[in-house]
Amino acid sequence: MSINILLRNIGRFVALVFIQVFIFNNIHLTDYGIIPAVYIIYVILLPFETPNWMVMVLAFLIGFSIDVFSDTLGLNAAASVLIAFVRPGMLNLLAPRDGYDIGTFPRIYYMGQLWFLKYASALVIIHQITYYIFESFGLEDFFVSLLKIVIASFVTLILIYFSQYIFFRK
Amino acid sequence: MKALINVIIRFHFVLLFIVLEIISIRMVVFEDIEKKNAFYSSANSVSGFFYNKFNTWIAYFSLASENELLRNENLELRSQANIKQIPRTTFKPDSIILDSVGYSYTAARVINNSIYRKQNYITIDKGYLDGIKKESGVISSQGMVGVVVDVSKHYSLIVSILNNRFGVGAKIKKNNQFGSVGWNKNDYRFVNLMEIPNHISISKGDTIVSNGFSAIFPPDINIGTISKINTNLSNNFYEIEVNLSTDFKSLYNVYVIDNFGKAEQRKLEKDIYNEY
Repeated sequence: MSINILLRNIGRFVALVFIQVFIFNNIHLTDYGIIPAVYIIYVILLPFETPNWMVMVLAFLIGFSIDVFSDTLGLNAAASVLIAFVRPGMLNLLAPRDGYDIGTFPRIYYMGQLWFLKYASALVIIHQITYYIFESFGLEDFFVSLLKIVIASFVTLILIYFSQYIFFRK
Repeated sequence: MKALINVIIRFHFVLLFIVLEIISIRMVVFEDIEKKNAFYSSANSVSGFFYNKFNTWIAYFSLASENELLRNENLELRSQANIKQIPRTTFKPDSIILDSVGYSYTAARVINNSIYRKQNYITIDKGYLDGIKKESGVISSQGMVGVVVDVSKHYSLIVSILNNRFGVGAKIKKNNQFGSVGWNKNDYRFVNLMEIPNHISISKGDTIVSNGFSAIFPPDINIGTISKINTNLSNNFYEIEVNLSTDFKSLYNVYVIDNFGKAEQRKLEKDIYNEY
């Protein structure tokens, strides 16, 4: 990982925490006040060659930072660590026949729409399921949780999809 | 030893996952409101600073409605002041001193507020340098808001009534029956009033106020009005839904209450618990 990519990732970390906390945390969808978890794009977009343990530590740190700002201690951290755990397996599963090319990133520009949608939706859905199950401690009101998970995942995924054409084009 | 290190190296990914996940889940599950630390919350100096800055920008949009609220409050206080003047001139009760001097109020602004989560917290822009103490009650001009759980230098973290791990003592104003108020809905407009037995006569629209037992809130702070009554035949208690008088969605100006007699009351209660 070159210094350039490292610096860019640190900057993206700070920027995403601020965008999530000050913009998306103030967006409340439907009567349940669903908040799109756009910050997980950080874990999704980390380069292919990032060591797995580093992905996990970074996921924990960004989840924890969001938690501190929004007083949800542990919730985002737990969900983010889980997607960092799933990510290598998911990348293996979706790998092209001759592996990932050097110098490519997990983005639509390099991997195509279908690949990206499969990859991103898996991580987003796993993240949102964990988040809402931990928030309500199990499935006390199952259908409400389910509805929240579906809407939140869908909106988050759409935002992440469009970010690929606006911010992360290359 | 070497074998152990080998195992750690080999399974470092899984082990790291387990450790981090346990740390996170511990924070979720064992979140204790009384031990809440302002450092790990939106009330720490960094996030408090940014929320404060952010809030000064967006506060302009709600100036008109905020003015309206404050004007109504002024009106109410003015009419109360007129009423209170009459008894003071006719007789001089000693105990009124406790009532008027026992509590001090600090005005503060809400800089961060959530209403849609299961555990909602509020951050305000006053901290221990402004004299805010832990376990102080917080009210708005409309009614009860929450309790300070921890303070940092310039900010305080408040557990809102809209938190399913928080309850507060309450009573029905017209007949002084006391119960407790807790939130277990997903709706920021309603709380539940519990522990009111079936034989008490209540009706929709009755006012619920604080009972003042806990030394956190003075008595008769508005909480809300009864909006729905269900009779539960299995345990002889009503299930009462209370429409909150505070509009949490547009909460901005709040007052933190400091009770001078709190330490003494706490000490007395603690001594009695220890003795029996």
